[in-house]
Amino acid sequence: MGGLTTLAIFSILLAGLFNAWLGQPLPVLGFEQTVDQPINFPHTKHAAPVSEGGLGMDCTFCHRTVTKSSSAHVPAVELCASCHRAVGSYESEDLKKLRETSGIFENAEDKQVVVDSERASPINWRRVHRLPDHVRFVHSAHINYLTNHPSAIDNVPERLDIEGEESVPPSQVCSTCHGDVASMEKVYQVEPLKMGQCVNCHRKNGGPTDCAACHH
Amino acid sequence: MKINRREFLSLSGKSAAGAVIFAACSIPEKELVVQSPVDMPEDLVRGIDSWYATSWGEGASGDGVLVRILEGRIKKLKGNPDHPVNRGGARTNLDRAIQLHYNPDRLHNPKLRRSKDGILSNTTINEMDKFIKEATSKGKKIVVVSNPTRSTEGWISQKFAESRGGRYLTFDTLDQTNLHEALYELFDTNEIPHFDIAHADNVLSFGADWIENWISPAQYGHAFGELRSGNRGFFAHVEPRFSLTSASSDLWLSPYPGTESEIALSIANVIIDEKLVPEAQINEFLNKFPEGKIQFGYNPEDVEKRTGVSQEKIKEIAHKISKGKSIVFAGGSTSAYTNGKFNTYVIFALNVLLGSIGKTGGVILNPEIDKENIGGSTKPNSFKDWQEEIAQWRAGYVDTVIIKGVDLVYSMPNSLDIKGALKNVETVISFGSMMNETLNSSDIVVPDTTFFEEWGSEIPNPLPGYLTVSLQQPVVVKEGPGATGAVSYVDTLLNLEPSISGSNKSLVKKVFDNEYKESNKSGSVIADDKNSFMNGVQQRGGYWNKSFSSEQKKVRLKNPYEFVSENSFSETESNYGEEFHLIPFSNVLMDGKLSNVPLAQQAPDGITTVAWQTWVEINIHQAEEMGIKEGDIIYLKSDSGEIKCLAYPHPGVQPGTLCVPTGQGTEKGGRYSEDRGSNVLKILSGKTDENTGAFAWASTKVSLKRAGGSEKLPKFEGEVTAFPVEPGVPVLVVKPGQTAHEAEEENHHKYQESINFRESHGISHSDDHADDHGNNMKENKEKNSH
Repeated sequence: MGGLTTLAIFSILLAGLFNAWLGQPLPVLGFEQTVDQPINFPHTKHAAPVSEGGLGMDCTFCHRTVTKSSSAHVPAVELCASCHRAVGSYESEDLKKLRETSGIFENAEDKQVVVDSERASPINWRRVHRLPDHVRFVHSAHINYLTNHPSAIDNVPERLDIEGEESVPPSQVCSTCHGDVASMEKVYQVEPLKMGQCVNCHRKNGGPTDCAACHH
Repeated sequence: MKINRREFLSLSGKSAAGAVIFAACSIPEKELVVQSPVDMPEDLVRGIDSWYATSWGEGASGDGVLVRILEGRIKKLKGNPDHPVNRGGARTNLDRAIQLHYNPDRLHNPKLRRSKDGILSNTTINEMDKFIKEATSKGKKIVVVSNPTRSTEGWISQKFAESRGGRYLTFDTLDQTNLHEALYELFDTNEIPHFDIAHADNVLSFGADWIENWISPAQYGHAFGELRSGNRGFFAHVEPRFSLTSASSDLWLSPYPGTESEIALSIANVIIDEKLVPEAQINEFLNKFPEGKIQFGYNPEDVEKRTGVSQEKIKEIAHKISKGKSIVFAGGSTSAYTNGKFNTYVIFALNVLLGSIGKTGGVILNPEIDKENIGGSTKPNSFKDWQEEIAQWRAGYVDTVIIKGVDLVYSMPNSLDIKGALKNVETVISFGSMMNETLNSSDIVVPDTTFFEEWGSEIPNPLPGYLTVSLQQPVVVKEGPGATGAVSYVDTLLNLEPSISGSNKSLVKKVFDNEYKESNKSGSVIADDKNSFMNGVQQRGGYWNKSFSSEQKKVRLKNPYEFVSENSFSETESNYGEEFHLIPFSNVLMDGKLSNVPLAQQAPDGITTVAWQTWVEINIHQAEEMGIKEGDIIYLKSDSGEIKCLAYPHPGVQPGTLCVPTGQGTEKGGRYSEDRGSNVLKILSGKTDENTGAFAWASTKVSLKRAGGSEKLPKFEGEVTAFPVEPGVPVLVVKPGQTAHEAEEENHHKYQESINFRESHGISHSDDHADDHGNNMKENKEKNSH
């Protein structure tokens, strides 16, 4: 009986530890599992090339701090609304949600569009990629390195030909960690994003491997 | 497997505990959320700062302020170099205001006292709203009180009070009614004029500590820098206390308190007798004096006996200010005696004699500003108004008092018994971001926003000579209870009174929309439409236009003797009696506004370098005679109460006068202010200038009693041993009885001796210090020696 209790407590603690420390879906369960977002945002529509039915928008159009800050940031509602006030069907449920979040309403009677910024509210997206709290990852440093060292880029989509290039635009380096997001209907995690992966890449490319590089 | 009842319960308990641990160790839900803010997240870019132009309305001077924001947090405040009032200058306490916003004692909950004898306890926003609504419903007799302001907030306060048939009053702790009254008599305007110190050749000021804290210190500090950067100018200051302004002057005169007007009239006497200015100016000045002359007895010899200021110095000032562009002004303690208005009027009238009115480098009249959506008061209510108002409260004639931006209970002398009066008011509603004595005596405490979280527009007082409207804009999101943020004072009033249409933001915008219409494409912002104009205003921190200035009309001189009131100090001629003149002064803590700000508490006073305490400045010779040493515990007793201070003997205090700083001694505040030092404002006697009803806050007499003990005075002075700034140049030591010049000569002589000795013995000067300062220093010295 005592052994059973110990095992139960040990298992619970271990699971808690795993849950807290790793903070990611475990690879054994598969990376493709993802979460539902409050508004369906199809990267395929926005980021995929025109030849594949997308708009070919650059990643930095929305994630505009990725080249200058530690965080890539998700865009402000205002940025989404700047296009979608006019672009996109007024029948779409997702676009309706987005417009209402940004304070844009359509009168049911005369179909006139009314803007009331006081009624705008933020969107709480579900996080897909998350590193533990004790890791400091600076997007800008990685983007800047990879744009000037294309040979270090991993997971390059087949449609891109960067062989022999001296430098590439920032939007072509994201795949190293995030995979081909432009082809994902719903974004999911591609790489484990664990310390081993970071250290391997740093060793391969001459990056710092001392603890304080990431844990400070 | 058999499980008995005991084992089952034990296992259930452990599983529950495990589940709790599991849940506690899991990733908090908020960590799994990534938010798209409504607007562009400019402030949230890590490592990149944003600067916003706004203003700090608390001091009424409407200084332009730049705020540095990093990742949505305020990091630094500094003066806005673009703003015409302070031109990049900042009050000494500006940077400290950050801790008004980020303070561990910031109120996060509304509080409610359910019965007059009950205690304040936390309540919800909804319940608070319900009680406020009840207390301010139509039919209630309402009074709204705020700090002196000319702003949208002031306008809303005024409109709200009017909507209920009530009154709106403003309270200025160190009452300046006499200044306003004297200026009104002379210039026929309530606007304080612009003192063009920057372009003057000579400045003569009385009582006002304008370099540290009087009215608009950032504006005057910048102007003083300009004055000193040209031909250096001449600056004389008259004040019984050695303030930072006294310390910055070329000639400091320390008169017996209350006798400043005699010095001014004596200076005028010398100028007239010796015909130092054109006759037309003399005639204009004397025009309204009885029989066309200054009364008998104002020659420097007689005045020396009555004021303690030497006749030579009076004559020296008269000669200096008669040449070139001169400006004379008064304020502070000079206006705060029982004869304050007479003092102030006579001193300002000297500008007529000197021909300084309306001229560059003189006194320039400011335009009178009357703007839609901006209100409040150009001139705060006098002490007499307040005495009458508090009598109404005490008699139970007022149902609701709404207080914002002023700590009445802390700031009013004991003689007014404001606490007792508030008990007789049915509901007292106070707004504040931290507890203070007034909030603690209220029935409803509302956790207020700070100026970093609120829209506002303000007309600075004094203006820089032309139209200026400062903008205040929110630079961070609201702190406070839950997701709702702190409760905005103006929004609360607007919600209660639908007849004042619009939100605070829209009312502020309307102010600048009107400016756009009137600007005629001139001024600090030029735009094609009102939205672009507003963008420009937000970028520059306000709107100003030099073409909207005042006509420099003629002054309306009157017989100054009409304003004579008795000087309550005049009978103490010896200045060595048992009674002392008490002169309170404010420094970085202001009137207690910043007393719960640790950055302000730790700031050493400009003259004494004391911090964290209440000290009393006493003349060093008088202290010696009385056997008082630094740090001795002293009790000061007036007819209004008693306080405890630590002695600070100082050569720069007029014998017979004691000077005590304001700001400490809060009974109910926060962790940094409570039970620290003493509140000198409490023991001020309720004397007024009978002519104006102004509070004569510098006319209190106190007796001094030693408690017998002593404490170490926390001060910066003397804590660091002097060391030579330049290697080899000795520290200048001035011995008792020696002048600085003599000490310099003596030291120079020693320095020269040491050089001669080194040269004669072949010792290189730089060799001695190579170890300390490295080779670079050595090279520099060798270069310099060549």
